[in-house]
Amino acid sequence: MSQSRVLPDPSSSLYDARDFILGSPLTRRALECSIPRFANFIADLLDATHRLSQSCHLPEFTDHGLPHLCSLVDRISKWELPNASGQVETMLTQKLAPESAGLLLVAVLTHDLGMLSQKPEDLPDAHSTSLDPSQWSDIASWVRRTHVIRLPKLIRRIMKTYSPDYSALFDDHGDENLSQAIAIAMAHQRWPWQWGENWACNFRNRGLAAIVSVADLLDEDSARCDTETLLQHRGGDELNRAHWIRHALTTNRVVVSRGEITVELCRPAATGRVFKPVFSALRNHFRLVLLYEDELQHVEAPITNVHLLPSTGIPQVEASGLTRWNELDGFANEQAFAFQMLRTFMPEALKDSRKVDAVTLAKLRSASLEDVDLSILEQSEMRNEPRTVEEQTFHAIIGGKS
Amino acid sequence: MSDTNHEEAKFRLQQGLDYLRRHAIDAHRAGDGLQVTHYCSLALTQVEEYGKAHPQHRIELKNVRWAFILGMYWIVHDWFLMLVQSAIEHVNRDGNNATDYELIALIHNRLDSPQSQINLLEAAEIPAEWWSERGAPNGSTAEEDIVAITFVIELVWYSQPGGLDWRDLVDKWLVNSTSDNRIAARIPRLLEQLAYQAGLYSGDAFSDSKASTSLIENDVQSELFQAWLALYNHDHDKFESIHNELKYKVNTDHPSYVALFNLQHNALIHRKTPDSQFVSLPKFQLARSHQPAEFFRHFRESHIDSEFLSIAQAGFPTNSHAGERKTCLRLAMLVSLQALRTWDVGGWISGLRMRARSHLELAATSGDTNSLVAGIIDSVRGHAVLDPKDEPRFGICLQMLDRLSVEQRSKLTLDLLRSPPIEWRRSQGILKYLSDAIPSELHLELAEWSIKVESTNLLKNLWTHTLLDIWDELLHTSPKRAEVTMRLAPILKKITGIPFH
Repeated sequence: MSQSRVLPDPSSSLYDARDFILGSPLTRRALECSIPRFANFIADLLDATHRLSQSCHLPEFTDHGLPHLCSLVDRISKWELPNASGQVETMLTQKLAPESAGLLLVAVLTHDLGMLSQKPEDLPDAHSTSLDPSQWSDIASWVRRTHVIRLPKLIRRIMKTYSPDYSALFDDHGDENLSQAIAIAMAHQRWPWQWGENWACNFRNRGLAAIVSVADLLDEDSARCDTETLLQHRGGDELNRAHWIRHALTTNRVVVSRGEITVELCRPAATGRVFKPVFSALRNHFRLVLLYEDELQHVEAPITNVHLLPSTGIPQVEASGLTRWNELDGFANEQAFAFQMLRTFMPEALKDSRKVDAVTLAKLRSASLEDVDLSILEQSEMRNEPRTVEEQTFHAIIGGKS
Repeated sequence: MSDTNHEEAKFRLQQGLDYLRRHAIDAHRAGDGLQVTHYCSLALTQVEEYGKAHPQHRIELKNVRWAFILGMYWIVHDWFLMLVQSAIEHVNRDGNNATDYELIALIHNRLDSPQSQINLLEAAEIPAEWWSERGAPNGSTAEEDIVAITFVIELVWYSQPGGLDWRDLVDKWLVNSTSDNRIAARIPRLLEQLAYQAGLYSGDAFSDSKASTSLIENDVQSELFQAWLALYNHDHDKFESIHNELKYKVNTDHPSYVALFNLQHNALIHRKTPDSQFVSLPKFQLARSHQPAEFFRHFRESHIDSEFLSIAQAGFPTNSHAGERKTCLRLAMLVSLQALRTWDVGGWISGLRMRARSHLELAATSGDTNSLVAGIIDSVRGHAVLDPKDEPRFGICLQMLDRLSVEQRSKLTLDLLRSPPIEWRRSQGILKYLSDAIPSELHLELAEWSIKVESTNLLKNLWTHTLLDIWDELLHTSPKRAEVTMRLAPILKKITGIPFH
């Protein structure tokens, strides 16, 4: 009997993901575009992504491979547009021109490709020495910092191995060229008002870039990673653990329904008042999609409402499986736990006036982001001199006073 | 502040200290002394601040002992000793903290006065309660307790490797322990190791190479040590044979790479190497920078140099720079001890050379003859190249040789005569300077040593054909001239038969 058994195919997850993505409404629309060899290109791009995530994915990161891409493609495919009366009018994918859908699909599939590769040769030719890996104490931070800027060279290098003909898709300077898709993908690292002069009147690209960014921002829910297993078995530092926990605090899969999103939050067991700033920051994270309001109008896909449950304070619902957090190194008490969680948010979600420029701060105010009590961060991060991470954690544990 | 608030603050501080301790232990095991001292100074500063604010609710010493012990184990700058001294005033040292306090005080005092002898009467017994609480067969063993016990033994040993103090201390400590205690069980092996390594200073280790192999668990370390023994005994065939095996086992990432480099470079004067030193030196520095423990040792060595330089820049003053002198001696001691833990003889020699420089500087500055004797022996054992033409302060030291007491001259002469072959030429150099200051009762022993040296076939490796010029003046003035001449006659005849000699 045992002789007849066949080893499982290690590429089965690729086949599943490829089937899921190629069958999605977004891809179906995109396949109608006139970009040459487009279907082959998408299939090969998925194969390349699978190979990279199988062999080169850094253990410190949450998933940036095919499951994440499936999630984004699915979110965009299910994106419902509102009509004037708030009823379902049509789906976003049906509104997009095939060429736009093609660019959007490639942008979505490539936006995090740099997170799966660690080669400095993909840095731009005239890059600053501060982007050189030798200047960074750990490779994971360098990868995260440079994953976008390395994308143009990386995508060309990797796709050339499948077919030399793919180079032509990037080298033309036409409007439907895939280098446009790469530019759209790269825009997710900046806010719309930072996108530069070139795009000032390119409303299509601005809209598509906003869709990528919003879909990515919403990919926050507990399905993104297996928090419990990661905490119990994977290495990593306090920041990694806090990121894994953060995903467990959003219980539902967040999709755009009739131009609105609904987010249900839960809290770890035995947390209370001290955790309030964490939920302020988490709600703000979802509210950041409102910063793309103008850009989404260009593709007639506005987000009219963000329903946050609860909209203020701390959720009543407890997260399952997050009961023994105080046994994690650096999470000794609620204050330290809150400190570690706050470290995971971008300064914009924290509405941190110390780290956000004046223009961005004004935008955050107009988007009605709630104020976050940063005292836990402030008393832990520094008194006068910068502190090491362990020093900050120590001060967070002792509560900033003795 | 209410009692509840005190308790809450104290509880949190203890949680924070436990967090730092876990990181400090990890860094200690990785050999990253700079990280360890970062965590320890952070902990002690906070403990002191808390103790000052809440004198009635101080942290128990035993709950923060790791920060005192590990911090001193990895000390570089003397301010850490000051921090220890002030922080310990603000913890609870009473009751079952007393033994931890004793151990911390022993380490502190030894580091604070690296030249002084420890008065063992001051060292208390370790009570049975301490042993049963720490290292019990069914309990956990804290890394800081193992460090404290072994570090104190090493420090006492270092002050007099050939003496019995360190053994007496251990006897006193173990009285109340049980044989199955996991900390106590480590001590016999350490004693055996230190007893054997004492021979590195007396020269005895090099006549008994078998003993070492049973003491060293790591194959590479064992082979490195065997190669050193061969080098010390000028057994070049054996050295080459061991070295040929070793060089294939140790790459630049290997934990023993620095030790291998030290071996190879100490052997350079005896053997040719095809490798360019312009390549090997930068490679050594690069590899060393990638190994936390080795980088830390280098950091300490550099700090010794910078402290010594500040003394030199001040013109070797007599009434100042005591702190810098202490730091040089303290760190030379710690560099040597760190090397011995991995049987890195090259590192041990390097530490001795640094101690020699400090002892001789002290002798030349203060006229202290004990420092002079210690400095000369350290120079010979540390393979230092001492030439009064290059180092005027060494010239001052040589002029002081006549001021040594008879006992000091006898001891110095006997120590030099006990040197292993690799040190013969340096010993002969000092003996020649001593010349008629060598006590006449030792002239016959000196003659026997000359015969032994000249009758071996080793001088060809010593850049000279004879070491007999010790006798140039001494033979004329020795009261035992006739007897010495009779003894030396056969080799004198042999030497005079060498053409052009």
